[in-house]
Amino acid sequence: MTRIPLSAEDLPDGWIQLEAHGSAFAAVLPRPGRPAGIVAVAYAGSMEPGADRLYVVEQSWEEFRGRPARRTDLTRRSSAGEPVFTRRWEVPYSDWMLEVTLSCALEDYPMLGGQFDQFAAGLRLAA
Amino acid sequence: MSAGPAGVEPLYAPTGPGVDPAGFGLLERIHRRGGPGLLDRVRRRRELLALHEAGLIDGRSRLRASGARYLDNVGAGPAWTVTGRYLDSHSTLSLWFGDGGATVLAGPSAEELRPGAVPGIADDAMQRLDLVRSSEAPSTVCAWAGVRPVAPLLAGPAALPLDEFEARAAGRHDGPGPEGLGALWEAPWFVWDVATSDGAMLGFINAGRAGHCAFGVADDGSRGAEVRLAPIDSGRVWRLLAGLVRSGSET
Repeated sequence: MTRIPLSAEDLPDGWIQLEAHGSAFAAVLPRPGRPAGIVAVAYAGSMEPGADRLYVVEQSWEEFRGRPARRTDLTRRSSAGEPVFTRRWEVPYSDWMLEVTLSCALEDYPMLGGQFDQFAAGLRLAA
Repeated sequence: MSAGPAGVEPLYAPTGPGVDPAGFGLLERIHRRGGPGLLDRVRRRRELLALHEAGLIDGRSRLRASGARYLDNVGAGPAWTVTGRYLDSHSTLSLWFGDGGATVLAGPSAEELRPGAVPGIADDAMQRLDLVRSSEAPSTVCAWAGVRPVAPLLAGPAALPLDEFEARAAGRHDGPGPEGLGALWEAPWFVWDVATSDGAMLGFINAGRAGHCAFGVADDGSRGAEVRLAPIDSGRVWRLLAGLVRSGSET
């Protein structure tokens, strides 16, 4: 099983790490009615989930804590029909992919987008 | 919805019923007045039948709840008009913002309008209704305009005379383009702009694989009107539109 190289110390103020089994790391910013979440998973192969009204806002390759990573900003509707903003980093390792996903209600993006940047800047990935 | 160019699925697929422009005008009148006028009942029989078949009005030509949900935002708050063209083919996307949601009336998208993409499609021949959250307006507009993440090929700001820009947008040009435009000049252009009811205007060129440009028109009087172009990436286009949503909700 692949160990996710993230810890609670990586989280911005106010975020809480959730218990996650297997190759996953999860955290939430508890806000009444509209929580925001961070989920990181490690997997082999590819994982392209379908989504309603998926729109890819931006996609680029950039450094993610010293490793090349593909960053994707996208909007979609959740299974409950709510508009969601997602920022996803895909960090290739030798035989697996670290995927870090940050999501929030689309209307909260102007407020939380900066925290997403703060989270990414503060990450310490294990070698 | 048909596949777009080269088998690419269109980015935007409205989920509501289709109406033609005359039919939507009639639907607005029905919404305002509670029903069609006396002359409409005779002269607009074809449009009334189409609205009935689309489930928007009942058998007595009164707005059904399924139609009212599209009309309730119209005239209730800010509105955007997005116009786009490929050569001589034009299309329009209208958004009316209401209480947390927006009604969309979408003509053919950039990918459907592109010459040869959807055989037989006519300018604004059929528009489709849709309902989105206000926060989804930027993604809706960008998807309709075919804005995909592409690295802009234009290296920096450029300018060209307004007449030359219009000739290029309409495909009435020959020979190499102005210096500095390079691959952008050769690419297919979907020229589109957003005008808001509070007076904001943004103009863009979607040049496919050559990327995106923002444009504005300047006229300092000495050289005549010129169009100023600047490369822009898809994320910046989206964020500019998100800024318009926020500024519209604050007024």
